[in-house]
Amino acid sequence: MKTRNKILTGLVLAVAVAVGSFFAVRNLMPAATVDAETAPVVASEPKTLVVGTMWEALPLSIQPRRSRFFNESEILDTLVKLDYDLNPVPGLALSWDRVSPTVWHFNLRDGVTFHDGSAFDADAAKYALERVIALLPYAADLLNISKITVIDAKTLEIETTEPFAALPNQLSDAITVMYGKASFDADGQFVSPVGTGPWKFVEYIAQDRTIVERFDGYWGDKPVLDRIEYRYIPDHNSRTLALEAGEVDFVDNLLPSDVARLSADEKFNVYSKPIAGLYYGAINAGDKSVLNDVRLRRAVNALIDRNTVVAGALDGIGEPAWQFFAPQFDWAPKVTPHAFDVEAASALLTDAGYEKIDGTWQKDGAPLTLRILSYSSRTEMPAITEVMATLLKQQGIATDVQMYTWEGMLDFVKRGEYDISVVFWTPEMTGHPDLHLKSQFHSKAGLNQQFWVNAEFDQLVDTGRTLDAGAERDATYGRALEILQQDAPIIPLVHKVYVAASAKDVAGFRVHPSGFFYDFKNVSR
Amino acid sequence: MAYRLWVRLTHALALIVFISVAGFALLRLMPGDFVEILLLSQMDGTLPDASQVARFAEANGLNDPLPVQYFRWLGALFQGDMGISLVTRAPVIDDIVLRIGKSMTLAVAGMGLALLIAIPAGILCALYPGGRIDRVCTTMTVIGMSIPNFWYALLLALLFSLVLGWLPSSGHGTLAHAVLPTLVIATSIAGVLARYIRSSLLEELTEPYIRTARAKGLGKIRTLLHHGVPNVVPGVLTLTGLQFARVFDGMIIVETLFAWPGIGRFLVESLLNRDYPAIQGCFLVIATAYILVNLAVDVAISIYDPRAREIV
Repeated sequence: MKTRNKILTGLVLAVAVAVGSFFAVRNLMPAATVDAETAPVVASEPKTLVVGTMWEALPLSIQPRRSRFFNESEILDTLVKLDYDLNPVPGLALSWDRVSPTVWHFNLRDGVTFHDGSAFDADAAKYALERVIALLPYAADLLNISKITVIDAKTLEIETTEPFAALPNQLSDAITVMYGKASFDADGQFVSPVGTGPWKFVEYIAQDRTIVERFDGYWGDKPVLDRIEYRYIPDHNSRTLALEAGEVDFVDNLLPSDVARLSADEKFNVYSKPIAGLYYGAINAGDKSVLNDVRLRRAVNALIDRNTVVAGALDGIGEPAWQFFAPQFDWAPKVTPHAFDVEAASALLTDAGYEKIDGTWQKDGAPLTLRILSYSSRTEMPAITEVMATLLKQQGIATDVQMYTWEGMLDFVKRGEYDISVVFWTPEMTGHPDLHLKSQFHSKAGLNQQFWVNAEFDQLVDTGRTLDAGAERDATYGRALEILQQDAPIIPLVHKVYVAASAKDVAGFRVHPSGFFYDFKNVSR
Repeated sequence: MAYRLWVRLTHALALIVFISVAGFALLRLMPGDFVEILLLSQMDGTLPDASQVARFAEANGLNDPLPVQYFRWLGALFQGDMGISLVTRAPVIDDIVLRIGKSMTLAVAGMGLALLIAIPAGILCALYPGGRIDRVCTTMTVIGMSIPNFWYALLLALLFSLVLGWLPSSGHGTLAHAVLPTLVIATSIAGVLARYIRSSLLEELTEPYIRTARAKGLGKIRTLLHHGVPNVVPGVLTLTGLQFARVFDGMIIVETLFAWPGIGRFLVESLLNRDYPAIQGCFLVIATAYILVNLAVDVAISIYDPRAREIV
C-alpha cells in the first residue's frame, strides 16, 4: 500500500510537472512581453509600415549583404544613386568630372547632416570610403581606387589605379554607402549604422526585426511614414501568410504560386517588374567539355525555347532571356538576340560531325550528353535547370543534371568537370556593362571559371572601362556583347522579374530595377 | 549511487567530446575549400581570389593542422569561449545564450503538452482496447506521426491565423506567438508517446499480478491506475527523454516556419552562412542538452524505481 502510494504520488507529480511546465511558459514570457510593447504588429497603427523580408536576421556588421540592407532600406546613402532606368543621378555627390584619365572630382551636396547631427563633407566621405575599402575586399575590387584626397570641404578627389570610367556607377553599389564616423566605436569596431538617409536606425532585434524611423533632417524629400519595421520571416509560405493575416503590410520574394493567388485577391496590391538579374547557363568552353566547340554552344542556345523555361519553371514570373543584358535598359548596347531555331541548331550540330539517330544526337556511336550543374539554395534554380535539361532532351541531347550547394557546385566548376552550370547574377546592378563583363568573362578574371578565352573580347572590355559615356563606348561594348552572343559562352535563360505584394492601403510603392532598393520614402497608407 | 552517477557523467562527457570531434571533422570534410567557403558567404557569393583566401586563412589560424585547430578550440571552450561568429562577429556563446532560452521554452512547453495529451489518451486506449476511443486515438496518433510537421505547421497557421484570426502566424513576443509552435512540437511526439503507453499498459495487463489484483476484487480502472500505470512509468520516462531528439530536430523546422528566434533557426542560418564556429557551438549545445536530459531521466528512474538502482 505504501509503495503504491509512493508510485501514485510519482505519477501525479509527473503529470503536474507536465502541466506546470506548460504554464511555466507564462512565467518565462515577461521578458518577451516587454518586446511586445516595442514591437509588433501593427497593421492597425497608422504611420508604420511592417515589411516581411526573406533575408535572415543578419547581424549588425559591415559585411556586404548587411550593407546592402542599409542602402536598400535607405539608412545610409551612396555618393551616386541610380534612377528608375539605372542611370546614375546625384546622391550625396551633386556632380562629378573626370579631370584626367585616372582622376575624378566629386562635388558634394551642401547642408547634409548625419543622423547624429554631424556634418557630411569631403572628410566624412573620404573616411567612409577608406573604411569600406579596408574592411571589404569586394569594395576594393569594385572601385579600383588608389588614393582619396580632400580638396576642400565640398570637393573629393579620387584617383583610380587605371583609367576607370565606370567609377561613378560603381559608387552607386550598395556596399559603397557613406558610414558616419559614429557608426564605429573608439576601436574602429562597427556598432550601428549612422548615415544621412531618410530613415534612421533605431533597433535591431536578433533574428527578428530591424526598426527604422523617419529622419527629419534628411536632405531630400522627407518620408511620409514615421516608421518601418523589417521583419525577418525566412519561410516563403509563412511570409505570405503573415501578409494575408494582416501581420505585415508588405512582403517581397513571393513564390510564383502565391503571386497568382494574391493578384486575384482584392485585398492586396501585387507589384511585378523586370529588374536587374539574369539566370544563365555558364558554359565550360575549356578542353574538358564538348562545348569548347562554338558550333555546339550556339546549337544549345538555339535549342532552348526560353518562353517554355519561364512558363514551366517560374509560372511566368520572369522574362525570356535571348541576350545577356535585359533589353529594357537603354545604357546597354543592342545586340542580335538568340532565337529558338531547331533547323539552325541541326545544321550546326551536323556541321560539327553529329548525326541524329533515333531522335538522339550522336557522334561515333556515342550520344551527345551534357553534364549540367546547379545549386538548390536559391529556390528557383532546380526548376529552371530541370526545364532547360528537359528541353535539350526533347531535342535529342542527353543530360546529366546534378544539384549541389553553391560551394559544392563551384568545386566541380573550378576543376572544369561540367558542361553547363546554371547560375544567377545581377550584371545590370550598377548600370554599367563593366561590372560583370570584366569580372566574369575576361580571360584574366578570377571569377572566369568557364575557360573561355577571346582575345578581342578581352581587349574590348579593357578599353570600354576607360571610355566616357558616348558613341565610342557604346560601339566598344556593343561589339563585346555581340561576341558574347556569337561565341556564346553562356546560355541566357531568364531575366529576373521582381515581385512583391502589399496590403491594399499601401500606396506609392515603385519597384526599383536594381533589386537592391526599397525606396519607401514616397510610400503612404 | 554517487559512484554510478560519477561514471555516467564521465561517459556523458566522453560522448560530448566525441560529438565535438565528429562535428569539427564533418564540417571540414564537406565539399568545397573550407576557407573559400567562409569567404564566399562574406562576399555575397563572389569567389575570393587566392591571395584573399591565403590572408584570411593566415589571420584565423586555418592553416594549422586540424588537431591543432581542434585543441585550440577545445582549450578556449573550457574558458567559456566558443570562438567568434564569422557572421555576427560576436562571441558564439553570446549568440547561443540569446537564443537557447527561447528554444527551451518551446521544447519544455512542447514536451509538457505532449505528455498532457499522451498520458490520458494512452490510458484510455488501454482501458478499452479495440473500442471506439481506442480506434479514434490510434487513427489520430498515426496521423500525428505520419504527417510531416512542416506541412502540418502551415495548415495550423492557415487555420488559426488566416481563417480564424486567433493567433499570429509567425514571430515571437507574446504567449499567443508560442501557441502554434508548441502545438506542432507537441503533436509530433504525442502520438509516439500515446501508442507506447497504450501498448506497454496492455502488455502489463497480461501479467499475473494484475490477475491477482482483479481476483482480489479490484475494479478494472483501479487495477490499471494503481498497478499497471506505475509499472510503465520508467519506460515512458525513457521514451520521453529519447523524444527530445525529435523535439530538437522539430525545432529546426518549426522555428524557421514560425520565425521563432531560437537556436534551431540559428543553426539553420549558420549552416547556410557556413558560420563554422557557430555551427560547432550549436552542435555542442544541442548534443549536451540531449545527453543531459537523458542522464536526468535515468537518474529520475533510479530514484523512482528501486529495481532500477543500478542504472545510475
